[in-house]
Formats: sequence, C-alpha cells, structure tokens
Amino acid sequence: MEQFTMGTEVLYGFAKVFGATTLCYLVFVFLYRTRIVRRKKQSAAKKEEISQWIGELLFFDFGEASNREKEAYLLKKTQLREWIAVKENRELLVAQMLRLRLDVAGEAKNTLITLYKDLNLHLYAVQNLKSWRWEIVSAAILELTQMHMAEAYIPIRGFLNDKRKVVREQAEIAIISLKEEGIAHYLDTVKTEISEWQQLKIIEILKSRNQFNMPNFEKWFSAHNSGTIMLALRLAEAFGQSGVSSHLSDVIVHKQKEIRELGYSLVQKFGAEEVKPTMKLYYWKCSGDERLNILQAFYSMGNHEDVGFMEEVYHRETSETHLDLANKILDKLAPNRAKKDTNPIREAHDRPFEGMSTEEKGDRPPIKLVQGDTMSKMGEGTHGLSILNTYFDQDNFNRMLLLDAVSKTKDKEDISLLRLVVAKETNLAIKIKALEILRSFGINELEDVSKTVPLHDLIKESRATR
Amino acid sequence: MLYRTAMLVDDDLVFTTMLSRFLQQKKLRVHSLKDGRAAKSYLLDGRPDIVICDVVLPYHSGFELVKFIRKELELLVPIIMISSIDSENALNKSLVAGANVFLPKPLDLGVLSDQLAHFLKLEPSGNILTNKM
Amino acid sequence: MYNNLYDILNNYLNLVFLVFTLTLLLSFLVMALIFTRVSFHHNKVSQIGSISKVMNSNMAPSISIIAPAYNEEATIIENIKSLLSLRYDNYEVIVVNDGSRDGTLDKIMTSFELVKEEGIPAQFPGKRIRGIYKSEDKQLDRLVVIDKVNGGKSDALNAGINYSRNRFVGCIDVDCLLNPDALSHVVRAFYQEPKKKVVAVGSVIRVANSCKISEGVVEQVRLPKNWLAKYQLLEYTRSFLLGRMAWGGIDGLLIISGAFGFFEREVLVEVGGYDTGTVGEDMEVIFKIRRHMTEKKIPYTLSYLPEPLCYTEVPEDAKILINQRDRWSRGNIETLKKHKVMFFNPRYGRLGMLSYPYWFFYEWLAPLLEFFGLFTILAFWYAGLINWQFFVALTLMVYMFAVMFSIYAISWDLYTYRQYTSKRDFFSLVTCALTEPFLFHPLVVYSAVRGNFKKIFKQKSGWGTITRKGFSNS
Repeated sequence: MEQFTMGTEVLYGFAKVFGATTLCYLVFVFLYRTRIVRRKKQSAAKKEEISQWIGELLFFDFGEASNREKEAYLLKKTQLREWIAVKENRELLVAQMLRLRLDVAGEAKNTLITLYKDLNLHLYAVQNLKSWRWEIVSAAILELTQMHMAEAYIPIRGFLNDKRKVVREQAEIAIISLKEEGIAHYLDTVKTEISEWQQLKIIEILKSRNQFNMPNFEKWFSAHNSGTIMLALRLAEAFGQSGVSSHLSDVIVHKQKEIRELGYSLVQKFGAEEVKPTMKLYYWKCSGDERLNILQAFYSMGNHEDVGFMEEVYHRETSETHLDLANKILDKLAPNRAKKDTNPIREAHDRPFEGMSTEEKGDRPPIKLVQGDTMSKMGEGTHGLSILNTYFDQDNFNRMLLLDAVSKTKDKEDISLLRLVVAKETNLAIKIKALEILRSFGINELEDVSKTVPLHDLIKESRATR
Repeated sequence: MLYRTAMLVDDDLVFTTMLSRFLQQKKLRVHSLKDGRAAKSYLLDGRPDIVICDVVLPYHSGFELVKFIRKELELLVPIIMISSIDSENALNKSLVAGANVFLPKPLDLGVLSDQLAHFLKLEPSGNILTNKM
Repeated sequence: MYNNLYDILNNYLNLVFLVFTLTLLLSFLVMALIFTRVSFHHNKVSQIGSISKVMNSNMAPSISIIAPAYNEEATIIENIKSLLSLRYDNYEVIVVNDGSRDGTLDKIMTSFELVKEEGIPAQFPGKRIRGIYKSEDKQLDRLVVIDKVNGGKSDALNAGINYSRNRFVGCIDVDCLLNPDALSHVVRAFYQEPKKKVVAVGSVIRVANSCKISEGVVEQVRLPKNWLAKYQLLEYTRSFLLGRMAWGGIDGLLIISGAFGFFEREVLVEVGGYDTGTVGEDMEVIFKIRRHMTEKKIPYTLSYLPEPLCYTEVPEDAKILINQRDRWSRGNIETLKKHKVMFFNPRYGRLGMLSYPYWFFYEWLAPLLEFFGLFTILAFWYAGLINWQFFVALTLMVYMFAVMFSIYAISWDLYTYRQYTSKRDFFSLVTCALTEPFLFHPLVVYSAVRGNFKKIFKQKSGWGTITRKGFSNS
C-alpha cells in the first residue's frame, strides 16, 4: 500500500499545479480580453479619423486652393507628422494606406505614394528591416514593395536566400517588383527551392509590368538550382521567348522529372526543331509517360526526316498507346508509306485506353513484363489462367492490356481472378474495366468494390487462389 | 447651385472616404452607404443621378443590388460597378445584371472621372452643368 | 488470501489506470506545446500581407466544390447561393442530390432555372445517376446539379468526383457556410510546399449557432445561446484548433473533417474515392490516401489551416448529438479496423508509430475504459475495497487538468480569432470549461460506448445495403 500513499501525494501535487496554472491562465485571458476590447474601440475611432485625413491630403489641389486653405493643409500635415510619431498610430496609418494603395491606380496611386514618402514613413520601414524578428522584417519589406520605394532595393537585396522562408519569399517579390534588373539578379543568386505559389506570383508581377526589358531566360537553363531552372522555363513560356529553343536539349534530359516535363511543353510550344536528335537518342532510355511526351512533340513538329525514327518506334514499341500515336504520326508524316503491321500487339488489341488515370509517373523505365509474343499468345487464349497471374506485378498500362486480352478470350477460368481484381484494384478506371468484363460474363452482383488491401497481400492471395 | 447626387456603396471605410472626397471635388453630393441593405432602403425614396457600387457587399451582393435597381425599381440611372475581382466572368455578370460600366480595382480615378463626365455631362473643368435640372 | 488477491488486483488496476492517465495527460501537454509553436508561427505569417490577387486571375487553378444534399429542402437554396458567391474565379459548385425524398431537387430546379444536360459522363461504380442539370442563366454557369439514386454521402461525393474535371475537389457539407476567401486560402496551402506534394487541405470548423448570418455569409460571430452548443464549441476549439493543429504540426494528421476537406482530385481517384461501406468516410479517406502515398513512396503532406474557413451548425438537441457521436465512433472503429496493418508498423513511420496508436488508445479505447472504470469503481466500492484517497486524488488531478486544458484552448481562441470577447461570453465559456467534465463529457462517453456496442453486437445489420438516412449534422 505504501507506494500508493506516496502516489496519492504526488497526484495531489499535480492537481495543485494544474489548478494554479488554470488560475494564471484565467487571469491572463481575462486581462487580455479587456485589452482586445479596448483596442478595438480605439482603433475603430482612429480609423475613421485617418481615412478623413488621407482623403483630404490626397485630393488637395494646390493650384485652386486659397491661401487660407493652403495654410490649413500644411497645418494638417504637421499635425499628422506629430501624430504618427507614436508607433501605434503610425502602424494604423500605414495599414490604411497600404489597403488603399491596392485599391487605387493611376494618378491617385502616385499621390498616395508621394504622401507616404512625404510623411517619411519609408524611413521607419527601412529601420524595421534591421529588426531581429522575422515578422517585423517581412512586414517592412512588404510595405516598401507596395509603396514602390526603389531606394530600398539594396537593403532588401540582403535578404535573398535568407534562412527564414517568409522573409526570403517577401524579399524575392520585393527585388523583382522594385527594379527591372531584379529578376536577373534574383535568378543569378537564388539558391533555395521556389514553391509553385511563389513562381506564380513572380510571373504575375512581371507580366503586369508595362514596359519591361526582360533578360533571355535560357541563361538560367543550366543553373545548379532546379528551382531556378523551373522558374526560368516558366518565364520563357510566359513571355514567349521562342529563342530559347536551342537551349532545350539539356532541359529535356535533366535528372528531375518536373523540369523535363516543363521542357517538353516548351518544345511543343515553340516547335523546337533543335532538340529532335536528343529526343531520338533519349527515347529508348525513358519511361512510358515521357515517351508519350516525345511522340506528341513529333506529332506536332515532325517532318519527312523523322519517318525513319518513327518507323523504328513503330516496330520496337510494345505499348499500345505509343503504337497508336506512332501510327498516327507516320500517317501524318508519310501518308503514302506501305503499311506493314509487323508489331504483334496491334493484332491483339484495338481498344483505346479510356479513363486511365496518370498514376504511373515514377522515374523508372517502363516495366516490360508483358512482351509482345506473350501478349499474342494471350490473345489466342492458350494460357487463359496465367494471364492474370502476374496482374498485380504490373503497372497500370499493362494491367489494362491484360484485361483487354481477357475480354477477348472470354475464358471462364478467369472469373475468379477477375473478381479478385475487382475487389483489390485501386485504380478506378481499371476496376471499372474489370467490372465490365465480369458483366459480360453475366456476373452482376459485385457492388461493393471500394476495398483496398496492400499489394503484397494480394499477390500472395492471387497465388494461393491458383 | 443644384448639386447632383451620387450613391456610393462600398464596405471599405478608407476607400469610401477617399472616393467620396474625390466625388465631392467633382461637385457631386455623395450618399455613402456601407452595405446592400442600406442601399436598398435608401433607394426606396432617394433618387441618385449615378450609382457607384462594389461587387462584394455585406447582405446583398452588388449584382443583386443592380438587379434590384433595374428590375424592381426600373430605374435607368447609370451604374458603375467596381470590383477587386478582375475577370471576364465578373465583367459579364455585372453587365448582364444591368451595370453600365465595370471598373476593376485598383481603380484609376482618371478613368472613373472620364466615366462620370460621360454619364453626367460634366464640363471640361470637371464641374457639373447645373442648368439642365 | 482472498483479500490479498483483491488487493493485488486493486493495486494492479490502479496502476494501469494511472499509467494510462499519465500518458494521456503527457501527450496532451506535448500537443499543446506543438500547437503553441505552430500557431505562433502561423499567426505571424498570416498577419503579413493578404491573400494574393493571383487567385482572382486566370492563373488560379480550377476547383470543384462537391456538396451532397439529402432532404435539405428548407435550406438548400440559401446554401447554394452562399456557395456560389465565393471570392474566387475559377471554380464550380457540384450539388449532388442523393435521392432526396422531399422537394430538394424541385426547389433547386425552379430557383436556378435548371435544364437537363445531354449525356451522362462515364460512371463510377455507384448508384445510378438520374440526370445532370445546369442552369440556362449565364450568371449561374458555375452550378452543376447531379441527381442520383440514394446511396449515402460517400456515394454522392464519388459521383461528384467522377463528374469533376478540375485539379482540386472540395468535399463539404452543403449546410456549411464558407468564408468568402476560403478557396484562395486552400489553393495557397496546396501550392505552398516546394518539396512535397500537398494532397489534402482541411480547416478548423467553427460553430455557427446563434451567429448573425445573412445571405450565406457569417456577418457577426456570436457565442451560441444553447448550452449544448456551447460545450461543443469548447470541444471543437480543443480538438479542431488545438488537437488537429498539433497533429498537423508534426504531419501526423489522420482526419480532415467531412465538413470541409479539399483534395487533389487525381489522388482521390487513385485511391478509389470514398469508401461507401463506412460511416466514417472522411477519416477513412485520409487513412487511405496516407497509406497510398506512403506505399508509393511519394513525398507528400497534408495541410491544416487554423483560419475560420468553415462554419457549421452543431446539434442543440441531446438526442441528435448522441446519434452524431455514436456515428463518429462507429466510423472510427471501422476505419481503425480496416487499416489495422498500420498499428505500430514502422513502415508507416510516424503514422504507424504515433498517430494510429493515439487514435487506437485515446480516441477508441479511452471512452470504453472510462465507462468500465466507472463500473469497476462501483464494484470495488460495494466490496469496500476502494482506496478512497487515491481515487479522489486521481479524479481531482484529471479534473484540474481537463479544466486547465480547456482554459488554455479558450485563451488561444481569443488570441487568434478575437471573437467571444465580451465579459458575458468569457464567463460563459469558463463555466463551460468547469462543468464540462460532469455534464457534457458523460454524454460523449455514452455515445461512444453505444457506438461500440452497436458495432460489436449488430455487426451484420451493417451498412452494406446503404439505407442511410441523411448525413447532415442537424
């Protein structure tokens, strides 16, 4: 019993600690609440006042005003200067001016900015850049950016590649907006990742510039930082720099998949003939998805010189989608060529892959577990049972092919495995296909098809079923 | 001198104050309202010469307000819509609802001034002709 | 001998309870710590600059909001109007009428001048789709209505996912009120991570009871007048704000409320959409997605936003509340059971070693232990074997801790949202915190036990045939 008497005391001790903490919280929260309420009231009144002042100062017309009005205006300005010496007031004023700044354009915007500078508010902001607190620094950067204070360019430049994400991103936006040479400097110096959101924002800012001598973005296609390359590619695309075509060869063989994909979209957009040799060389080394990219590029910009390559593709390729595309390209490039359908896959399958999800996007070569000759055998139905045996080892493309084969042979022995496929398949398009085939066997009772089981279990199960 | 009246509907205090100051400078009398409901009740007997309203408003959206003016009150008063949503969609919507002009935010006061001149037949100096009332 | 045995048993049970309780308290403390860190950071970030204007331009990605409706006749029009008036350019609203038995569809048809679309797109496995409707009015081109045979919330959501062709889909409750800027916040969260794929975004759910609402927008936030709703508000603050933010902070989040969850559509399709066989589909889908991504070894994350993007009406009637919680706990069991391989499975990293066990022990097991603990205590008391001092001390400690935690949640709520600031609201909430362990908590425990009971003993009546009646909270 002894250890529990001790335990009891400890428990009482804990209870006391918790109780005391609760009391502290209560007092603190109550005081905090009072402060919020008071502040709310005060700032509402001040806001009203501030908006009056801004209105008056903004639309004051020196030309038409009488002397007395001018005096009143100057007095008002002096008063305002004194008033904003208090930090709280200043913050309120700046907040209101920033809001207004986003809502007006043209002459009024310029007057607003002049007023901002006139009140020396930018000096306070520059001062804030030296703070050690990141939230103050980034707020100051934002303020200076929105007020177009180009003189803040140099001090803000120091925050590029800052360790703190918010500060860094804010500084990037500032550098790009404040000066025209900003984007080049940024692309030269950036060492960090650039989020998609940030890239969108940068492009948006640059696009909204009226006159803009943009640099040639191909300069950064071979940068070390993959973020830099992506942004440069996107910028080249956004500004239609078709001159970058000759620099895309390196991009489409870059080790990072996203960059390669962006590269292909540019190749297609600009019809970059220069990269054809690279694409031809690279074709057999890359995965199914990327081959599609290459084929699409040839579809849009191929000519008679590429017929040889396309015929090679047509004879060596094993995936039906690719074959179809290759065939289409050949029809387009050499409509009069003699057709010789030597690829066995073509005879076994003539169904398109509808509704395929793009699940398989990994950076790996395509699985070639199903070779052409095996497939044709399947087509003849000699190995009805074994067709689905390897099913769960396949990628989605091959799974579709297998199902196609099954739907051809209509072998009743496949039914049990088909059921398994319906039960375990995670890809809906494929699952639907399997369901359809089962229906064609006259089996309809399978309604609940949304269960998922890890793959290794399935393969075990499928082997056991056999 | 007879002043013409502008009805201004926007929930942003600073923007409204600024804009009404601007309109006053153009020698317009400004009725500034914060939301769609207040605007509707004002319109029951008030007859502004021009309506400037934001798309996003508390209580009733700007579109609804415009529809109310056109369909229920059947007024032909010129309506200028201002919106921070600058898109084809918003433009079409406001024009379909019955607005005369759609101006995106950030608002260029020069453009607004031109529109006012167009609808209210301002003198080149910016003052409103008063003898036509 | 006989007495001795009881003594040992008694001590043993006490020890188990003590260890369990202490672990629980410790994990709560850690959660509070993580939450505080995450929130401080998030608050500061969100104070700087507003949502970018990018999102109103044509660069904004496309989003579909899917809102299933079942017998919502009374409120459906207001709800749809509210959904159509969000501040975002590129989105559509897919309302799925899940075989309502009242006039829901008729009302929508007449109010929005809907016309049947030609052709029905390729169908997911699921209940039959009767028709797809769009409005003739150009201004309503964002609205799509899918009418289908009743099949439950999951099935309705699947139909919407199937129809949508947009990059992101949001699955929401139709009676939820969304913040006009909700979509911009969501998209920003999706695009924020440079290194990982953000597959889902959820948000804090706030209580809409007694709030001033007009035209589908929360005009003024007020504390609910109803006490049951007040308790729930406190509970929501604790679990949705504190708990889930903390889990989000260590990337171990296992649930995004069905009232407001946005997903990358492709990922949802890959995992086969929502499970129609469970009542906890919102939790199950997250488990599924997480497992899928882990198994495919794609770096990913979920994002959880503390901004009040979604307001919902909570039940003010004890019976409805119990039904709701009963359903939650059943969903919980079903999901945990379905994904049991994750339990302490190092392959799933933090999820398997931390999140799943937490859910298992403290979301599922804790209410049961509390319930049976009560009986044990009664039995021991009857046998005269109870160690009163120890019992009182333990109870007192747990009580003080619960109150402390609630007050902490209230302070954060005040700090971040600055709502409920009046003296009256404040004291009202504190009273809730003080009385909750006696008055509200037993109700929650009871519902959980009832859910477990139903699940264990009436397994066979299950949900296979789907005869669910509605899924709205109220």
